[in-house]
Amino acid sequence: MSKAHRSGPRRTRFAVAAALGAAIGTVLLSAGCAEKSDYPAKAVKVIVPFGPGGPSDVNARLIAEHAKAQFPKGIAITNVPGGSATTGTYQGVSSEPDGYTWIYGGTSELSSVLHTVEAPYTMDSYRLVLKVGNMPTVLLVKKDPRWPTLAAFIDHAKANPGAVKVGTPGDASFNRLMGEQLAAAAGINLVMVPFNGNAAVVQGLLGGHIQAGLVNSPDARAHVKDGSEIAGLAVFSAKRVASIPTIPTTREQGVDLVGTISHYIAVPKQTPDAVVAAIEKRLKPVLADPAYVKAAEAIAFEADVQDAAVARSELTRWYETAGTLYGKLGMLKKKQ
Amino acid sequence: MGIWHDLLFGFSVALQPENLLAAFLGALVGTVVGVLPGLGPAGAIAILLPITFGMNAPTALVMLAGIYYGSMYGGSITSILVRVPGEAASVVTSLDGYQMARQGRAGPALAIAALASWVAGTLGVLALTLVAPSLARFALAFGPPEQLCLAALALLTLPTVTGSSVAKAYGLAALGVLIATVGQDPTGGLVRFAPAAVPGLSRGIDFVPVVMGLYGVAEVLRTAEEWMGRSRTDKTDMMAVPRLSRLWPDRDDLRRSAGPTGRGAVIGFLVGLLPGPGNIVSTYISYVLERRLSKQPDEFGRGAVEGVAGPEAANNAATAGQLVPLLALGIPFSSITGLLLGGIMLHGIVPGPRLMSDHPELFWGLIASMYVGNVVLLVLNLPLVGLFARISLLRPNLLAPVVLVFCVIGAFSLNNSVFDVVVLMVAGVVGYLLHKAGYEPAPLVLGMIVGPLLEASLTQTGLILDGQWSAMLQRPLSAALLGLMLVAVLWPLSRWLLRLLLVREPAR
Repeated sequence: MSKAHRSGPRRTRFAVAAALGAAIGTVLLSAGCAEKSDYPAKAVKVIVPFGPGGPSDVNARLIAEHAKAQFPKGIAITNVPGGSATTGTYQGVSSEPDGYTWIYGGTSELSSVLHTVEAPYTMDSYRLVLKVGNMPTVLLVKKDPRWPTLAAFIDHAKANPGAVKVGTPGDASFNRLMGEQLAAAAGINLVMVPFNGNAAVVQGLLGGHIQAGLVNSPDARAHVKDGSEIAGLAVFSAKRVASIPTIPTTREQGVDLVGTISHYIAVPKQTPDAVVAAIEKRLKPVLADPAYVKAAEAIAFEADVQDAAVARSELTRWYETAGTLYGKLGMLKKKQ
Repeated sequence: MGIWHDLLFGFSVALQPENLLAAFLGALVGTVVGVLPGLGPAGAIAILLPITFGMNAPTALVMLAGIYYGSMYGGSITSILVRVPGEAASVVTSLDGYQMARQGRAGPALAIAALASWVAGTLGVLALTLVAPSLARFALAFGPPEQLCLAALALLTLPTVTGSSVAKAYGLAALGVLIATVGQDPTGGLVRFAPAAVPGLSRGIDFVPVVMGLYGVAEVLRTAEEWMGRSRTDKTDMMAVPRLSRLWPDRDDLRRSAGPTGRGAVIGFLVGLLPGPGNIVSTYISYVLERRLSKQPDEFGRGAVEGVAGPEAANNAATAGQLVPLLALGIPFSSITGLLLGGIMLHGIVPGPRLMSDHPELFWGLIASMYVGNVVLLVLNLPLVGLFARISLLRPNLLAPVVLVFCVIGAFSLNNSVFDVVVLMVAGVVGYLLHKAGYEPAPLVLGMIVGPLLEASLTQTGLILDGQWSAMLQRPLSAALLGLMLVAVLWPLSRWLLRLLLVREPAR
């Protein structure tokens, strides 16, 4: 003991530092390892910011159903609807950042809705894990020999400014903004009529009260089967959607405008890198599972897995575009 | 021949053990949900929808639909016994049902409600079986301009539901419409009248806590006032009433209920077909109609059995009517059928106009199960009449706190939000004050329910017709509805003028 003393304070200090360092290192390492190997140690709660039965809810449940091997403790879907989906999203971003609460969020509630609705979170309140897929906007019309194609439809609208009424699922909805962009790109005057959701748009279309409607692919799919009175003129995506292959894309018809509501998995901002990586590693094979992809296709949801960086840039770009569009429409929320 | 063959096939699906069990469970859960204030059919279906993920599609749909029409049976029970409508479609039932219970006729009121529900429910399904596809086309003709006329017509003719002061009734209906404008506008645009200082307001004011407050809490407050205002001996008096005169409806009750039930079934089915909250609005129409047709209109509001039979028949037939557009076209016209659509989508089936040919087991299985489910509900409800009727014998000082607790739990459970409890309490105080001032709050509820429809269709009509409101006259349906409105305004006016002239002549 006295020897040790004599051997000098310097060595002792070094030993202590080394021990401390090792200890901290071990703790850190083991913590890292624990998160990597132990995750998921319990069931994951996924917040869907919509009520049950809609495309978001159904798709989240399909993922949970096909994730049983990768998440043996289970994935529980919790529906928290309301406030243009901001209520559930906020509950998600403000939950414990331990990787056991995810947000199953769509394009609107993760970005553009923040322009129009007073919400207690921003785009910096969450971090993205993965992009799940798309449900592109589709232009539906009541079948009419005067407009068999998008080009003919645009010509008709050009010749009769203001005569074409286009139903949208809501005044501030994603599809309304797509409609405004289409009108601007084609130099036509379309009257946007807001309805309460996609189904109501189809209802107005079938009754002949509006000439066209902008809905998302799941609602388009049910009503454009052969023999229907409704036709799909264009799907706003780069390539055709597998479940509605007869509807040509906008680009095929010379209109360079694509847009889709996409779904993403997000977690609270403070979730550690290792946990996010663990989720990503386990979730990726689930989303690539052909059985899942096929089940999603049945509801016209297009699997399109992208990593967090791509997802973030998509959302940021849409946030900016939507801000400009809402600004032109005078719909931006008042600064407080 | 074809239809009967299809229906027989439907029964072969509906009578499979698991589907039979699903119909029974759905009916049972529906009854319970209807009884409990707060949690309505929409909430219950939303909660149970995920559970059906593991079932077959027909089984799931049979159960979810069972919850819906089952809740229409259960909703009347608390309306009659304690004046707390279990859901908005039984507000009107409470007007006369509760008075019947206070006169010791809770048994007949409950039994008539169950019987009328069964008859109308079955008639509604029969109509659904026979004429679904053709009627669905007709329902589609009701676009935004027609919906606007319907909403306006409802607000013009239905507030006088109780026959009290016209000014009071329309004032309350207008207030209801105003309350409905708080929060996000119905076509998903901007949030109105919701200062940031009151965070709950941005979601709007839900009519469920308002209904529970205006009726349930207000009644509790009235009971408490009466209780505390009495001396000790009087209190024993108050506890002694009412006595059950008899448990079952007599021949006279049944005779008087037959007409209202039949008419209620027709009204319910037709109004249920149209876009909007048909199951609620149809109860008001039925009540107003029965009061007009009655030889003793003064009895309404004082325990007229017709006022129970008609509306209860209407709301049950309306559930069948609301299924028509869903099954024939794949389009939900109301929020609850929207949830049922979700229940089907959960199984990878996206219902469209070809549901009947693509998935006959779903279409005919559901229809057949509704015949079965309505019988189940009758069997379930009639034996309970005796038990439930005894609730009306409970001492008010014991019953009132229980009602209050159930109302608070019910309001909180809607969104797990204290804000809804505050709404409940405010509505309770308002309801109490309204009663003191001689107002009956039913028109306010009507205004809150029709308001969003009025607002949305007004916006849409303006856009569709380019602001040319006269174009409504060129659409046959909206023109006809406008004509009806004119008659509704001129008829009482001309009668009033006529009476003025006639009274003046012979009097002097």
